[in-house]
Amino acid sequence: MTDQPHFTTRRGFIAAAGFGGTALYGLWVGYGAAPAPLALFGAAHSAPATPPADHAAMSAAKAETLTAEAFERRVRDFVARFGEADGSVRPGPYGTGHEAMAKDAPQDAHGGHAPQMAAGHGGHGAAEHAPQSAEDAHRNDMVGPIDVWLQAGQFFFEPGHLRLAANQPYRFRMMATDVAHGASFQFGRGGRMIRLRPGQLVETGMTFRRPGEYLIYCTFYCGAAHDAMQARLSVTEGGAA
Amino acid sequence: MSGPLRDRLATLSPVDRRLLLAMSGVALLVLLGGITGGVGVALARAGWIDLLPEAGYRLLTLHGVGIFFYWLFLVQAAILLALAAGEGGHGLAWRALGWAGFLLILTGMAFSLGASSGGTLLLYDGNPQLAANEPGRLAAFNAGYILLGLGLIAIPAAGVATLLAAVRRACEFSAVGFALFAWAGFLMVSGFAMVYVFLPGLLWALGLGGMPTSHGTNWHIVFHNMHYLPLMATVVVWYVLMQEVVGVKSVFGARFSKLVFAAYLVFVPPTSLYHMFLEPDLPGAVRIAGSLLSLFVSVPTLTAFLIIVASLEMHARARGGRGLFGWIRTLPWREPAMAAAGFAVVNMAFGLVLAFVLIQADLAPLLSDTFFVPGYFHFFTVGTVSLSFLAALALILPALTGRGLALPGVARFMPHLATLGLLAFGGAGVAAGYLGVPRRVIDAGYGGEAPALWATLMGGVAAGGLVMALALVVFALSVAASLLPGRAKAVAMSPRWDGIAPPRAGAAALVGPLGVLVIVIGMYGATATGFELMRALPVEAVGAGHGH
Repeated sequence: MTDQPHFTTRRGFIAAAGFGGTALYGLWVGYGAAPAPLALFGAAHSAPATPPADHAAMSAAKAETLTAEAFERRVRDFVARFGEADGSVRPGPYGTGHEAMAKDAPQDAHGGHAPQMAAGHGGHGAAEHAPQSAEDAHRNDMVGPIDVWLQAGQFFFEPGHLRLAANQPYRFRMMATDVAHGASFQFGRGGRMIRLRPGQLVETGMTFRRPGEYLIYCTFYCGAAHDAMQARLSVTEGGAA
Repeated sequence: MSGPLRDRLATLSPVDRRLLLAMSGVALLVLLGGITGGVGVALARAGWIDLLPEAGYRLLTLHGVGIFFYWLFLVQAAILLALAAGEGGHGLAWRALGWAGFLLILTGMAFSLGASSGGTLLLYDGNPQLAANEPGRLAAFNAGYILLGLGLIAIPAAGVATLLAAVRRACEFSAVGFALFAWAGFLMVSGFAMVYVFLPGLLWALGLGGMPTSHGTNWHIVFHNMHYLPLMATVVVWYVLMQEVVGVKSVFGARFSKLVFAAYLVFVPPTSLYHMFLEPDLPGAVRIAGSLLSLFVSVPTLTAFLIIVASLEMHARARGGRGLFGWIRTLPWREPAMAAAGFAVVNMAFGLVLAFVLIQADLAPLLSDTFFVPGYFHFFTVGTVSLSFLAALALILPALTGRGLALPGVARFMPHLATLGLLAFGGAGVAAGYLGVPRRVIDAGYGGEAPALWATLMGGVAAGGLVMALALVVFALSVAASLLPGRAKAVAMSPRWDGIAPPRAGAAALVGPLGVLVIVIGMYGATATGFELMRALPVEAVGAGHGH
C-alpha cells in the first residue's frame, strides 16, 4: 500500500470535482443552445455577422411605442375584420377580411409603415398607424406572416378563440393592457410561453405544424380570476381553418 | 472553543436561552402554519377538496409568506445565534439587539399575514400592479417584509458581535466560525435587499412615490439569493452535525473549508439572471451570459458536499468501514439529526439535477411558470434546507432545555418518509411542468380544456405532498416537544467516533465523486428531456424568448 494519499482525497481533485455541474455545457453546445467554446472566445473579438433571431426580435419589440389604448383599438379592428359568426377569429392577409377591410384599406395604404417580421428584424416603429398597410397585405399574400393581435387583460384574452392554418407563418402581436400577464400555447405535451409586461408590445413569429385544438392560458399570476384566463386555438390544415 | 457544542449551549445564561428558544419556537409554529397552507393548495389543485380560487390563493400566500420568508429566515436567525453563542461559549453579545430584531420580525409577520388575509389577493411577491385599487393593503403587506428585513439586519449583527468576541478570545476563526460570519453577512444583505425591493411599493402605496415598475426584476434577484444562500447555511449545519453527531471534522483543513464558504459570495449572486429569461426585452447576449454564469451556481455546494462525504468516508474506512457504500451503514442513523442531514444530502442531489434544467435560456419558454418550478424547488426548500435546519434544532433545542425529543424512534424515520413523499411530489410535479401544467393556479382544469393527464399528475403531487407534509410535521413536533416543560431529560448523545483516527494512507474516497457523476448524468437526462420536448412541439417560434 502506498503512503501517498489517494487522488480522490486531494484538495485539488475535490476542488475540480466541485465544478462538475459545468459539464452540462457540453450538452447545451450539442443542442445548439450555447455557443461552442471557440465561438465563445471569438465572440469577444468579432461581432456576429447576423444577430440571433430572438435577439433581433427583442430589439424590434423594444422599439415599438404602442400605447395600451392604441393596442386595444388594433385588437378591436382585428376582431371586426376577421371575426366569425361563432365568435372565433380567423385571421388572414389584410384584403381577405370582412367588409370593414374595404372601408379601411385606403387608410392602411396611407399609413405608410411597413412592419417586418419574416426574419425577426426590427425597424418599424409606426404602430400608431393602421394595423397593416397595403404593402403588408401584399407581402402576406405572397410569403409573409399573417398578423395576429392578441390582448391580455384581467381576466381574458381577446380574441378568445383563434382559428389558424397549419404551416402558415403568423406574427403574434401581443400586449398586456393592465397588469403583467403571460400567454402559454399548450399543445398537449408541453408548450411555449411568452411573458407580457403591461403596455409593452411583444412580437413572436409562430408557425403551427400540426392541426389540433389547443389551449392558451395566462402564465403570470394576475389576480383572483387568474385561473379562468384562457383562450382556444384551433389549428386546421392550411386554408381550411 | 472547546468541548462539544451541546455542552457549550447548556452553559448559556437563561436570558440567552430564552431568546434562542423563543425564536426557534415561533419558527416551528410558522413552519406548521406554512405546511397547512401548502397542503390545502395541493389538495385543491388535485380536486380532492373544493376550494374557491380566492381561498386557494390565500392558502398559497400563507404557504409562501410563511415558509419562504418567516420560517426560513427565523430559523436561520435562531440557528445562527445559537451556533455563534456556542462558538465562543460565553453567551450572546448585543442580546438586546437580538431581541429587537426578533420583535421586528414578529411585527412584520403580523403585518404580512394580516394584510394577506383579506381584500386584494397579492400573493407572496406583493406585486404593486395588483394593488391599484387597494394600496393600503399593499402598504401593510410591504411594511411586514420591510420589518422582516430590518430584523434580518439586527439579529445577524448580534451574531457578528458574538463571533467577534469569540475570535478576540481565541485569536482565530474556526472554519465554522468563519462560515457563521459569512452567513450573518448574507442574512444582513438579504435584509437590506428586502427593504430595497419592498420600500418603493410602500412609498407608492402611501402616495410618496411612483409605481415601482422594476418590482418584478428586483423581486427575481432578491428571491434568487434568498433561495440559494440558505444552501450555504445548510452546508454550515452539515459541518456542525458532522462534528457533533459523527465526531468527524474535515480532513482537508479549515482553510480549504473557508475558501469554499467564501465561494458562495462569488458564485451565487451573479447567477440570478436565469429567473428573467422569459422577460421579453432581455437581450439575447444576456440570456447566453445568464445561462453560462448559472452553470457555476452549484460549485460551492458541490465542493462542500465532496468535502463532507470524503471526510466521513475516510474516517469510516479508518474505523473498519468496508465496501463502496458499506461504510455508510456505520454512520449513526439512529439519531434523528443524522437521518435528517443524510436525506438532506440525497434531496440536494435531486434538486441540483432539476435546477440545472431551468438555467438554460432556451428551455425557459417550455418550463418557466410551470409546475416544474415548485416540483424542483421543494427538493431544496423542504428536502434539503428545512430538513437540515430541523436537524440542527434537534441538536440545539435539547441542549438548551435539557429535555429530549418526543418519540425519537419515530422521528428518525421521518426524513425517509419525507424523501419518499418528495419523490412523488417532485416527480409528478416535474413531469407536470414538462407537459405544461401551470404553477400558481388553484384549478388547472381550464373548464375541461386541459389535458386529462394534468389532473392525474396533480393527484400525484397532492399524494406526495401529503406524505411529505405529514413527515415534516411529525419531525417538527418531535423537535418542538423539547420546548415543553415536564418533558423527560435529554438522553446524553455522544459522537459516534470520538477522537481522531488517522485516515488510511492510499484509501480512496469514491462516493463523493460518484455522487457528482450521478448528478451530472441526471442533469444531462433532465435537460435533454426538455430539449427533446421542445423539438417535438408542433410549432416553430421566433422572438420573445423563443430561439428556435
